[in-house]
Amino acid sequence: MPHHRRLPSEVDINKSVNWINSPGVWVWYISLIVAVWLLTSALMNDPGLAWTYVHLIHGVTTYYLLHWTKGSMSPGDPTEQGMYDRLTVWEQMDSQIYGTSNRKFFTVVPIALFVLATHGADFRKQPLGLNLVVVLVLLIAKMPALHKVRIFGINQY
Amino acid sequence: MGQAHHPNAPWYINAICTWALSIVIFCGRIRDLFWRRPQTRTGYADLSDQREDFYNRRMYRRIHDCYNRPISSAPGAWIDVMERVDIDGKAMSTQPDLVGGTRRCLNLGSYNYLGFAAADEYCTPRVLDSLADWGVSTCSSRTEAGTSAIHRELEQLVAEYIGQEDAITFGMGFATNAASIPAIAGPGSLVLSDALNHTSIVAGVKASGAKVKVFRHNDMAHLEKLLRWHIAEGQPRTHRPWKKVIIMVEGIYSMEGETTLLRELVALKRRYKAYLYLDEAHSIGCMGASGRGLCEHAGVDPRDVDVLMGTFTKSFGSAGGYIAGSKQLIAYLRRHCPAHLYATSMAPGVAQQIISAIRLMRGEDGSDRGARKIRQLKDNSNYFRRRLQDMGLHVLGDWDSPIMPIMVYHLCYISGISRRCLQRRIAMVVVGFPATALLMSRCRVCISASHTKEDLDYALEVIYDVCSKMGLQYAARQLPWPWCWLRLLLWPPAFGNYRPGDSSSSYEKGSSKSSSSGSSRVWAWLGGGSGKGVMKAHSAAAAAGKAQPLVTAAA
Repeated sequence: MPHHRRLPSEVDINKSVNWINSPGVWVWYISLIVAVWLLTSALMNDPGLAWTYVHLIHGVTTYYLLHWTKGSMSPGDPTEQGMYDRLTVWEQMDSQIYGTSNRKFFTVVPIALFVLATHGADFRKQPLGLNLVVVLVLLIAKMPALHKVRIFGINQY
Repeated sequence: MGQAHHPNAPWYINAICTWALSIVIFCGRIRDLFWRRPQTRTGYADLSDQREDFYNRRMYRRIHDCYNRPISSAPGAWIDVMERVDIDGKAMSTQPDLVGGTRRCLNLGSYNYLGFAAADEYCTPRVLDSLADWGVSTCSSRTEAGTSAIHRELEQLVAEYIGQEDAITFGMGFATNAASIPAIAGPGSLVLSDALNHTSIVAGVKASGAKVKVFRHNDMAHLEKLLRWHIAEGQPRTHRPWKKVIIMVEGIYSMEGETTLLRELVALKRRYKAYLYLDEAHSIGCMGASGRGLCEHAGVDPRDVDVLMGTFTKSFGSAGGYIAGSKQLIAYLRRHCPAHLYATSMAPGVAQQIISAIRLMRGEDGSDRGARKIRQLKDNSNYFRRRLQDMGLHVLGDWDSPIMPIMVYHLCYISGISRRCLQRRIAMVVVGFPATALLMSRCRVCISASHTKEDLDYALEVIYDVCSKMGLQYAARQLPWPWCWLRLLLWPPAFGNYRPGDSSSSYEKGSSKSSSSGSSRVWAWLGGGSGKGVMKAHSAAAAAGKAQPLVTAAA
């Protein structure tokens, strides 16, 4: 059940994800995206179209890292004992509570990249369609209604 | 004395550390794609999943020469570290081979707070006599044939020393928590556990089946909120009242060096009718005026704490753990705790060491060595902590606590610090993920009463040198941007507060440092490393470390 809880706030003891709440991690994330954009726009002539590439690369990478890889970074840790083995990183974040500022940030970034990509490609049809598919997949994956849901049992174990 | 502040790394340090980690992890992933070791036994499942094992293979193993270093002497103030083959950055699945020599290093890693790790003129002869009388092992569990007069004496002595009615002792410290907590808490109990509690407490609570709620470290307001909410709600789903509510905290947290807020905890527990379980593994023997632990240090009556747990490994130079409490509690544990019923009882020599150490601490050997040890430990700890803070390092922990974690934050630095310190004959423990949070790596110093001031000064020299070269002086005054970067380019970090030749010490006697020559002092001030004159004195100390007497006469 998606958890917009109003209990006294929990302490996040999940060592694999509680570093995301440290100050400066958002700065790292944005700077990583900007660095990849600089790299792609240096390799191709069109910096606007480079945003499309950045958006697609970002989409694939974050889908794999946040919504596909499961488990803990320290699997031998006796304090966890495999509690998080079936949970993706997105589900483990913030003690599995939705509606936190962290989650809002990670939801806004693909939307912002989508806007930049479509604007950078001057709203041409073909990149727009591809960008739209990517951003919709990411947004649906981040919805609280899909907490611990595995469609057709894909990626369950 | 007040609580030390909890420094966090500034945001740009975290951003840089995350960048470095992401590069390391990216390279590791590329290696996993192309250079993965093939399966050795076809048809069998892997022992560990390749994806889960990533941190272990691609990050931990590359620096595994910084961990599990074998030693070949008693872990006193100076220790013999056995030399091993240089792994040169290769990740190996086996331990590096021994080369054959040993390296005499200053021991800043052992939990040897009162100096009992080395042979002692009062304790060791008595331990050897007990071996002759009782043998090496009891060869039985306590309930069968393993209880002897030594065990009874030990338990009575521990109870008197702590200030409780009765005590029970076990052969292993970890097992004391892991086996007693399930006997005390059970399904239907609520356990409120500090966020930074040790693995043994977490293991015990998980094994007990009680419901756990974690409160933010040392945050009494959060604990009270949780207490009010969960006592009002009752057990999940049925909302029946809890069978018992237990608050679990530690005396000194071994990765932070901080004490818990015992007075506030006792006030809270009285108000909400909860039990208090205090794990004094690191604070027994070294906190308080006579070493009776955190209760004495905080001015709390030990009988206000329901369960006082501790270990003998740290301050008493022995092994095992104890639980002290009311007669009712201890009698219950004697019937229900599996570590008492089934595990082999404490070896007689081990018990005798604890008995002798406690008697020494109480002054029953006729001298004041016990009181002097505690005073020496406190002086050493406060001096070292103040000097580290003067250097501009982020040091956690409270005053009077002998544990000093120096924050590194950056996971990629810890191997460099560890190797450089070992090369300069300092054996210091570095801790990274997963023992600490991912961005909060640290190196930890454990001070002992058997460290002399020369030892501490030598350690401070080396730490200053290593840490200034690696840029760990997060707390020092910084120039505004961009001059701070410009200054870093032109010459190594220099900070006006600290000069290696100073000693702003709490010692009455003058410092025993040799004076460095004029030019080397300027160079030292600029941070270019300590002058040659100072180093000569300390290499003499290092050589003198080789000739440490077996029996420590001073401390």
